[in-house]
Amino acid sequence: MEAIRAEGLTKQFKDVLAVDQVSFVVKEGEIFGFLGPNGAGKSTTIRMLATLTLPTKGTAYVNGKDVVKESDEVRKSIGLVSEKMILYDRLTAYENLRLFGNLYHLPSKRLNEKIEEFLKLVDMWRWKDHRVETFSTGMKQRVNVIRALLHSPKVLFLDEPTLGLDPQTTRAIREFILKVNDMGTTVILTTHIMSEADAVCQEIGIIDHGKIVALDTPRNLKKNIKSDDVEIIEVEFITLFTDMLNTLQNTHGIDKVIQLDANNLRLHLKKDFGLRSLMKVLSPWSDGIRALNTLEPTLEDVFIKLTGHEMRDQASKKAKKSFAGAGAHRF
Amino acid sequence: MNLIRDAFHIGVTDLRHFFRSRMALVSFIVMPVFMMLMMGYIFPSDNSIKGLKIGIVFEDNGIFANMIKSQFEKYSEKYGSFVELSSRQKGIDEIKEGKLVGFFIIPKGFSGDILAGHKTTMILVPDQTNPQLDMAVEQMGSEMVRKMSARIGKENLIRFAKVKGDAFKFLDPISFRTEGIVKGKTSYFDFMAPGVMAMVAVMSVMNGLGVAIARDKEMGTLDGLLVSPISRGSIVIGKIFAQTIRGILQASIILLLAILLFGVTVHGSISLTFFLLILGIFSFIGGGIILTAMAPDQETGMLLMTTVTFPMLFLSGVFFPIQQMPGFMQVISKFFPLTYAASALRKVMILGASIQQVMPEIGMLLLFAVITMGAALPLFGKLVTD
Ligand SMILES: Nc1ncnc2c1ncn2[C@@H]1O[C@H](COP(=O)(O)OP(=O)(O)OP(=O)(O)O)[C@@H](O)[C@H]1O
Ligand SMILES: [Mg+2]
Repeated sequence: MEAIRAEGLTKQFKDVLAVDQVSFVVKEGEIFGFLGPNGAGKSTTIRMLATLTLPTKGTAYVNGKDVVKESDEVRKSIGLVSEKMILYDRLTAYENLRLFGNLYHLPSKRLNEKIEEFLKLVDMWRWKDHRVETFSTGMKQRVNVIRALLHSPKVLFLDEPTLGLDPQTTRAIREFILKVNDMGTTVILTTHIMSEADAVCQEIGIIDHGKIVALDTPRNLKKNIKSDDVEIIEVEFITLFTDMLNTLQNTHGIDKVIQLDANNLRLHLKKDFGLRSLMKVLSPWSDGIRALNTLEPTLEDVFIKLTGHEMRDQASKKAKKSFAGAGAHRF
Repeated sequence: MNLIRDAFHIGVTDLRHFFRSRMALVSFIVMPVFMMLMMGYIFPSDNSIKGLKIGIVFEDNGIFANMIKSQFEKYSEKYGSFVELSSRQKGIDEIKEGKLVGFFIIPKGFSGDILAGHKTTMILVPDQTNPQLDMAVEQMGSEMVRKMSARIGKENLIRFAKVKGDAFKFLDPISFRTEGIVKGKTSYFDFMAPGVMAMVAVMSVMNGLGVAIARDKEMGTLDGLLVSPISRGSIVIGKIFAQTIRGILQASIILLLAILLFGVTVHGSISLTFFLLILGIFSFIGGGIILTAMAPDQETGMLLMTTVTFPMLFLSGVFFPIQQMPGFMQVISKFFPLTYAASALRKVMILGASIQQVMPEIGMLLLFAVITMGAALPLFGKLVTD
């Protein structure tokens, strides 16, 4: 079964083409990750799938239902954690959960049980009668995430669920997501944190300027850039000799020699120039080698290769953006 | 049924959220208090203008000039102080310096003329910068002269025409009396309070609706409502429900203040009063939704709202009687439902009118409610999404 099918999904805001012909399929029970820099169109895509924004062109199905024509049906089976907290900050955690649970017409008693179960699960039960405005960002997000799950949705959308959270809360939320997924919920999540996507997603879509530029499992994505690219090796020496550096630089199979510090070198090897050839070249100085590591490409490398800009830059811009903008409400 | 239930949950949430803000609560109570006090003290509640400084120039010193002088002394308790001036020029100078609101002249030969049986005149030189004060001073002068004139006339009749008995009957055979439907004299507050109640309720709903939706949008909670399988209508109805309760509460504060602080008495049925208030609010909601939905952002929405509500305050007969307005404005006033709400509320609250007696107003309010809500219905969805 397909949890989600998007076909040529497009969104045009006045003069901004936010999402451009996006197509993908998410299988039931999967965790699908959307990666992309700021303004790539991640949130807009999620909002179209969650029936909050009408697509300009294209169609999408959630649990087999058209998001435009059968939006009411779609809404029954989805949960949303969006960029802004969906909580009334002057209401208590319990009141918020009651309100949103009521909108799904859950029987009162069952709703109460569910709220208790979930609040205990995220360790927020003793805060249930405190106003949300008194919570830290992490506490709010825990309540916010269970709010989206009260009606046991088949598909859960999470738009940057760990933004602005400390490592502990990030891990707690991540584990909670995995638990929910284990119980059969399909999860669609967007994130800026590559390691997060790598750790939880079975399938990843990298989106840039509104277009999907890669769509695969994290492992395949990494393998692909490895196979058609250089291999990166870091070598630690007791001392670096000038003649050794010269030899390395003049070796045909070595693309780049980067001196990291007094003891460390980073070498970019051509793919047909193996580790063995390197050892041969280094044999006169082999006594001075302390350590040798092959660097595995990360999703970040994949991202940089595909989108041409670095994620860290984007991430810091993002922090600034949310500080100046809607951030005051978000945190 | 689900529609109403969902709307109820949303409305209750809205009210809770609103009343838990201390600031909001304070302004919620202070606004009507401020409104009443301001309106009550700025607009003259009766004709008693006190603390006036009025000059008198005596160019005559005869017996009747002295009589006038003692009259002025009596009046000073009610109006303010009177000062004797040496000349007309002095009076004019003092008016220009802002020291006097006007002065009376008792011209030369004043007493002599009266004694000789001729007609004579007392003159008022007003400070023409302030018509309202002028009117008060003029009224005072003419009333004083009329009374004195009647008394002198009576003495003249006795003296010259040898009329006996109560000579006033001859001079002044018709008298005049007012008999109100309800006991006591109604003040400006009685006139104003019903209108202000309706106005505050209506304005709080009109502005509140836009603010409540914009706030949910900004906080992000609107997404939570929109992503749930409830109808768009129930969101709007829920907000309307919450705002209506707020409007009614605020109107009740006005009513309480009017009764406790300003001595207003309600002669009609309280339940009819509240029914009319709710009807008044409903007659506006459609318009409010249209304006809110029309505006590209909240700021423009507020601006639009003010553009409509501001003239409405003055054109709906809340502060000034509609009959006092020029003809074309009277026509315009017919297009504001507040006109009918204020008029019906006044009839009920002051005169104790029954529901049958305010039927024409109820009809008009219903008409406004149905037409504007009908026009607004397709905009319900647009209000919450973009
Ligand atoms: N309501 C809107 N009106 C106009 N333009 C919009 C609107 N929402 C989004 N956009 C634009 O669409 C583009 C995509 O925005 P979107 O929020 O989907 O990006 P994103 O990938 O979620 O970015 P971020 O990482 O910053 O959350 C941006 O250029 C943005 O300015
Ligand atoms: Mg986003």
